[in-house]
Amino acid sequence: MAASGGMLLTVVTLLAGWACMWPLRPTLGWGYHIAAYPVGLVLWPLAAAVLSPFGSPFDSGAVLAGYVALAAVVWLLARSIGGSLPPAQGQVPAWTYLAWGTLLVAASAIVSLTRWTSAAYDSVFHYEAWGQWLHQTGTVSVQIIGDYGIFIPTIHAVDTLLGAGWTSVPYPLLSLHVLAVVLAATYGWARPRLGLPFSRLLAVGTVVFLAATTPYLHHTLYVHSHMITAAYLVLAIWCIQRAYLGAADDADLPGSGHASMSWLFVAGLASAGFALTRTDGIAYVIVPIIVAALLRLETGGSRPAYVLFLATVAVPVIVVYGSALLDLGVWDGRKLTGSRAIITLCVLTLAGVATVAVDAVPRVRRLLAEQRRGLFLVVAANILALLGLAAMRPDGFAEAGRNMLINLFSTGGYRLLWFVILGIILIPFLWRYRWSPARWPVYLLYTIGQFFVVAVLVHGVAHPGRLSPADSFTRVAFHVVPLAFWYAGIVSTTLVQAVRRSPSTG
Amino acid sequence: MHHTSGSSRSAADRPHVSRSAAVAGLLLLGLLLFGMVGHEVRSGRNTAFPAPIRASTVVEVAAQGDRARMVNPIVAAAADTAGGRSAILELPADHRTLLDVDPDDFGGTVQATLNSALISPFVGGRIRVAEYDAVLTSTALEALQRSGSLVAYPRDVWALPAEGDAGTVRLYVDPSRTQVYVLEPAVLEGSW
Repeated sequence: MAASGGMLLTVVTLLAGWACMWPLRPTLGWGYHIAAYPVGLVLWPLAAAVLSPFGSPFDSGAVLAGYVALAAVVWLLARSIGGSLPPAQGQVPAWTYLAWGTLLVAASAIVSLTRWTSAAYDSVFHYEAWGQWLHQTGTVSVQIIGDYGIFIPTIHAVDTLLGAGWTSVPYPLLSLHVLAVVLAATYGWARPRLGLPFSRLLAVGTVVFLAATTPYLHHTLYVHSHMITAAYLVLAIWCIQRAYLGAADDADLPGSGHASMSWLFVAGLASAGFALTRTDGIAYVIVPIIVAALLRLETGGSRPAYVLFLATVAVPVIVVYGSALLDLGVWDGRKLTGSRAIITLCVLTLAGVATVAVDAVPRVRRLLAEQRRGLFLVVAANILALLGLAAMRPDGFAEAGRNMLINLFSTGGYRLLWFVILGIILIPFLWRYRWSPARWPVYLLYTIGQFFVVAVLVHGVAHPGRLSPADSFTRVAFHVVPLAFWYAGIVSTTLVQAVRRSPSTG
Repeated sequence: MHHTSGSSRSAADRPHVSRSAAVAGLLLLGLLLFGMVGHEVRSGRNTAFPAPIRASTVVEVAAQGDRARMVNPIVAAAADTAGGRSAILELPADHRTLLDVDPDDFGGTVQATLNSALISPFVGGRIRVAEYDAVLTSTALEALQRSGSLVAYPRDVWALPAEGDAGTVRLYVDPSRTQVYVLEPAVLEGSW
C-alpha cells in the first residue's frame, strides 16, 4: 500500500501537469514533458493554502477538488496563450508521452520498492512531522508557513493521503528532472554548433559528471528542500533562456509572441515553486526575475509576455502568503515572520513594477539595453549591497563569509566539487579568450553569481552559519550546482567548436 | 526542440579561440572533471552526509536515526495504534526527563529526549500535559506483558491497541525508565 501510494502521487501529478499545460505542447516540445511533473507538483501547496482558511479537513474529496480546480485555472490560462498557435507548429509525438510517463512511473516504482531514502533530523521533525499535521488538521500552521515553507509538508501530507508511508519518491524524481533539464539545455546549445554525435556525447557527458558527484547523489535521496529548489531553479532559468534566446542563442525569438509566452508561463510557475519550497525562497526568487528582466532588455522582448511571467510568479506566492495572513494574521515564525513576508513581497512587487515601468521612458530603456548597461547596473547594485552589508554588520559579514568559503572548499562535504566549478568558470578567463559572442553564457554566469549574492545577503543578515556540512548556506549552495554543470557544457561546446573550426588561428 | 542548423549559423558566432588554447582548455577541463570523479571513487562514501537507508514508514526512519529524540515520532505512531487518530495523547509534566536517556546535544543546545513539542505535529496537535504518575508498577507491567496484546515498536516503545475509539491515551514508562508504553488510562484501573 505504501509503495503504491508513492507511485499514485507521481501518476496524479504528472497527469495534472500534462493536462493543465496541454495547450502549450506545440511550442514546448520535450519541455512540455519535462515541465509537467514540477508544474503538477506546485499546484498541491496552492490547494492546501486555499483550503486552509476554510477549516476544510484534508480529505481526498476536498484536496482533489481543490487540486483539479487549480489545474483547470492553469489550463484556462495556458489556453489563452497557446489557443491561437498556428496549427503548423510541431506537435508532441504520442510515443513521447508513453516514454516519459513510463520513465517517471518506473523510477517511482524503483524508489518505492527498494525503499531507499536518506533522512536526517529536518526530514523527520520538520517536513514529515508538519506534513502529518497538515494531513490531520488541514491547517497551514505558523510553523509550516514561517519555519519550513508550505511546499514540502504539503507534498508529504498529500502522499500520506494517497496511501504512502514515508514520502521519498518526489526527491529522486525531481533529481531526474534536473538531469533532464541539464541534458536538454546542453544538447540544445551544442546541437547547432557541433552536430548530432558530438552534441549527444557532450550532453550525456555533462549529466553523467553531475550525477557522479556525491553531493548530487546524496540530495537525490535526501528528504529536504535542496533537490526540489535546484530542480525549480534550473527549470525556471532554462525556460527563461528558451523564451528570450532560444535553445542555442538563435536570436530568432524576440521575447514576444506565443512561443516566448509559453516558455515564460512555465518559467513563472517554476519560479513560484522555487519561491515556495523554502521560507527564504521569496528572497531567492528575485534571481529568475532579474534574469528575465535583463534578457528582455537585451532582446527587446515584449511587455505582455514579461508581465505574464511576473504574474505567474506572483499569483501563487500571493495566494499562499495571503491565505496565511488571512488564516493566522501577521504570524511570528522562527525563520519568516508575517511582517518580513509582507515587506519581501512588497519589495518584489516594486522590483517587478520597476522593470516594467522602464518601458514608459524609451530613452532609459534604450540606454540600459545598449552595451549591457542594465546588466552592469545590476552587478554594481550587487556590489554596493554587499559593501553596505559589510559596513553595517562587519563582524557578522566576515564570519558568514569565512564560514561559507571554508564550508564550500573544505568542511561542507563537497570534496573537490567547488574547486572544479571554480576552475570551469575561470577557464575562459585564463587564456584571455575573446569568448564566443553568444549572449547566454554571460547571463548563466550572472545567474550563478546573483544567487550567491542573495545567499550572502540572506545569511549575512540572518545568521553567520557554522562550519559543518549541515550549515544552511552550505546546503543552499547546492541549488546552483546544476547551473554550473550547464555552464560547463557550454564551455566544453565552445572549446570543441574552436578545435574543430579554427584551423588558421592556432 | 527548436534550433537552427549548424550550417546556417553565422561566422560571428564562432568562438574566437585559437586551436592550441582550445585544446589546452579541453585538457584542463577533462583533468578537472575526471580528477573530481576519480577523487570521489577513491574517497568512497561521503560521511558528510547521512548514509542512505531503507525505510517506508517514519517509524522505520526514526528507528535507524542515531539520535535519542527519534523516539518521539515512534511514540506518536504508538499513540495512533493505542487510540486511533482522534485520540488525545497525554504526557506527564516531567516527560522531558522521564526516560533514563542522556538528552541530545544538537547544534550547541541540549534537547530533551521525550519532547511534547516534537510529538505534537505527528498527532495533529492532539496532545496535552496532565498530572498523573507515569511510572508503571512492576505488577502492572507484568500484567501488560502477560496480556499478549502489546504491539512492539523500535526503540523500546510499546502500545496496547484500544477497542474502538479510546478518546485519550497516556504515555507511561517502566520502573527502570527505559521503555515507553502508550496505553488507555482505563487499562490500568482494571485488574492490573
